[in-house]
Amino acid sequence: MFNIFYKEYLKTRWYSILMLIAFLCFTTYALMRINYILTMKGADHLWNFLIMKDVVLVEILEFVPLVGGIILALVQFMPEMYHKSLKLTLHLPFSPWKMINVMLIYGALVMLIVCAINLIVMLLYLHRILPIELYSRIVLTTIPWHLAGLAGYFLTSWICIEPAWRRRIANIIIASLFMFIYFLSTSAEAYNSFLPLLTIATLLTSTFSWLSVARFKEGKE
Amino acid sequence: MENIIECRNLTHYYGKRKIYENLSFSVPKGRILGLLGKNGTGKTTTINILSGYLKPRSGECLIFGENTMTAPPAMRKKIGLLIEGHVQYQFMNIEQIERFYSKFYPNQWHRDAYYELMAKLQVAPRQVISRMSCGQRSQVALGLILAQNPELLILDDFSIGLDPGYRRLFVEYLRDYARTFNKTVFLTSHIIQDMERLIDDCIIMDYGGILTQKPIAQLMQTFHRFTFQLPENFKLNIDDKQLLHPAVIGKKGELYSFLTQNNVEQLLKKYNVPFSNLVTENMNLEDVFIGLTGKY
Amino acid sequence: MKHISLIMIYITVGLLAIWQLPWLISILAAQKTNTPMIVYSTLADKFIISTTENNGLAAVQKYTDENGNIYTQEQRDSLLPFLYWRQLTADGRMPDSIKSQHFSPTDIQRHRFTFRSTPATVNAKYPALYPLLESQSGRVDLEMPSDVFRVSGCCIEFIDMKTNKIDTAKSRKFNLEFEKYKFQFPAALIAGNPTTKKEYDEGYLMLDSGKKLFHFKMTQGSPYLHAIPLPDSVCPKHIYVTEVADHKMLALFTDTKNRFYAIEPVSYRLCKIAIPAFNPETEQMTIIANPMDWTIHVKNEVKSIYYAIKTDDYQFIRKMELPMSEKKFQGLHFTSSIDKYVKPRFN
Repeated sequence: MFNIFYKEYLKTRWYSILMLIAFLCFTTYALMRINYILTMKGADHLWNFLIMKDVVLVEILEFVPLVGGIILALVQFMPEMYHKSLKLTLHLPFSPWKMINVMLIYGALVMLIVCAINLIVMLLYLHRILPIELYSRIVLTTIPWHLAGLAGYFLTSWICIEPAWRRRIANIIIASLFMFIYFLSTSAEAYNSFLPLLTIATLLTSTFSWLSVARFKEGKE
Repeated sequence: MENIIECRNLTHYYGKRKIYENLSFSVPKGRILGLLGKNGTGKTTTINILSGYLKPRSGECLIFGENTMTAPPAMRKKIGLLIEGHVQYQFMNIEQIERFYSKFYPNQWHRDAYYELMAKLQVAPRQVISRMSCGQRSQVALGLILAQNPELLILDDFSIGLDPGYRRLFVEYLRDYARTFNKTVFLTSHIIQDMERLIDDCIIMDYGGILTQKPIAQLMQTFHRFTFQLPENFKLNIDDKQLLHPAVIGKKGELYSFLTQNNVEQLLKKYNVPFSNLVTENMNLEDVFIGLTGKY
Repeated sequence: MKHISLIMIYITVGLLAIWQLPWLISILAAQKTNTPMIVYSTLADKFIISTTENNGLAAVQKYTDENGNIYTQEQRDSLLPFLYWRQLTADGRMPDSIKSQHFSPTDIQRHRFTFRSTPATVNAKYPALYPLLESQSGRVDLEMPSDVFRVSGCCIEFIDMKTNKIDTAKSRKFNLEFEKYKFQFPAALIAGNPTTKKEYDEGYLMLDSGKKLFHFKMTQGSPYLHAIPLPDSVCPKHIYVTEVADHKMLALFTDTKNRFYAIEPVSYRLCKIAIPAFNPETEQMTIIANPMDWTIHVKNEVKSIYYAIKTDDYQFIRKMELPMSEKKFQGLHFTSSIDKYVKPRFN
């Protein structure tokens, strides 16, 4: 398994670092905005704003994980589709299902680590200036965005591995509609009660790629 | 002799276009078999079915007794696969790719075989495969297969994109390796000259099925070109399955056949052909192929 | 594996279809509807209906009553003097007395208020942090405090916003008051209007975990806590501190049986408002109040009901019901007009 991770690592190492830097840049920017309000208008203004208004002040991060996840899938799976290199991967003495799962687990771990670092950085700053009621509200509001990043990764992998162009377009339509679910509201904590189910649904989208692999193996074009 | 590959009644269509119907063949252990055919006769289709990347509409293909569509990992371990264009992971360099593959074949990996071949390449250790020439890539791909030390090698159009030097190098290495270690090889190539040096048996395909499957030596001994003189403006209209592709160029007639000179002579007489100076010519594999499949 | 994957994709496509198709149909079938303004007229003892109709390019105003009698704009203004007193005064048509009672412009302004509750705001989740304003600062303008309080499982805590630290001294002082009144932590409900955009401050109404209702505010830096006696059968569910200009009402609330009440200040007298039921979680309410009566509009998905009640004793005067014309298409929805949550719901 770690050997497969090694191949995925070779493909994605530079992008992973780039993604982490980009995430941190956006997070830093969002936190600097909060810091600006804090220093220019005072803590009470910031707190009251967060308590009364339906905002979390880090809205700029909304689509960052999604874009990161989509590009990660492209970086990881486009080289596999180059001249059908996936044939090499699936020819290795390893179950093709395990193979695709390990590849997806690798990508999911990269997403998870980058998102976790991002959230930790956010928390490290916010917990100093805000009470738990407010910083947990900010973090909880960003969770569906992070899940969208993971779903974007899984669904783009599914689209990438699909061997037939027509089906690929259908997949893009389905995936786009599905991704809408993560961005239906900008209200703070709007997704709270939906988060467990949404997390399960997000993880289940990883199973879509199994069909693409099966179709690839059957030589569908 | 034990059959390594056994394909039974393969039928495949792309949409409504028939590729072949009820195609059956087998490859015995230790033989190098070349699959020859014009473009579109189903060479790549067959390779894809053999390597488990195409589900035929009907029929089955067994390698080491296992169906290729459900090939278990242990069976794939015994098969070395070269995909068209010598494709290998573009993002790896020669050390990384060796390290990667070696872990999958722990008890059979011949590291030295790989590095022996790599030593001849003029590539920097950190040069990634995407920045290598097609010839260099072919050597990496071949090196990896040799290091894998599989019992069966399936090579899809190994000559594509290679200049003559690399083609020769590839053929010699492969032949030497297969003969020495009694490996079974199934390959296709669109350059037939190369095959003559390499293969033991050949299957020649035409649209819709197999024209012939024979050991190469037997094929070249028994299949001949017959040339003869004809009166001017004579139209040669013979419809006989034993006399292939009869044609006239100026006053010279030619045809191809597995028959002996005597039999051809009798048949020409039977069809009232006013021929003279009937000559039997031996051919190289490329001419044999053209003789069997026609020029068009 | 392939079959599991196929089943998952089919389920997804199915769910996306029952989500998107009803939405598409509702977009295609959508019609512009103008909600009329309906206010009870004390003078006519009828509901007066002002409708805006789009007649091609121009918007045409139409004024009628519940019986279909048509009025001019001037007649409508005269029928609703508390609403259009400025126009009537400008025209010199403001009557000296209304139903034999004299009202000065100041009286009218002081006794008028509007109240609005929508399911979307009731069902929204807000951070459980509450700024406690000073109710008796001696200044005319209210000021936002430099701290907020939270009510935990054991106590009330004041957190200084600048330092993000708990103000232990203030917290201790307030907790003593809570202990004195045997407030059972945590609070089940906390309601207030922590804003300076109001005329005065009445702090918060809090329901403790023993279902006892308290009035809580800060006067001259000290806690003010007062238990509000409620009959056993009344348990508040949604509370609105009203802070109306005439100081005649402290709060409105609905109880667990969707009955609607007002609480008067000082005496903390409980008054049942004579409307049948109001569920703030699913229904929208608008109150337009004047010195003599309130027009209460309660709207849900199926009907829109207008009630007129008396300002003095909240007794029922009149009622008018309109059906809702909005069509709803069955299917899977994630968002709703009655809350701000995103979650799957089949309706």
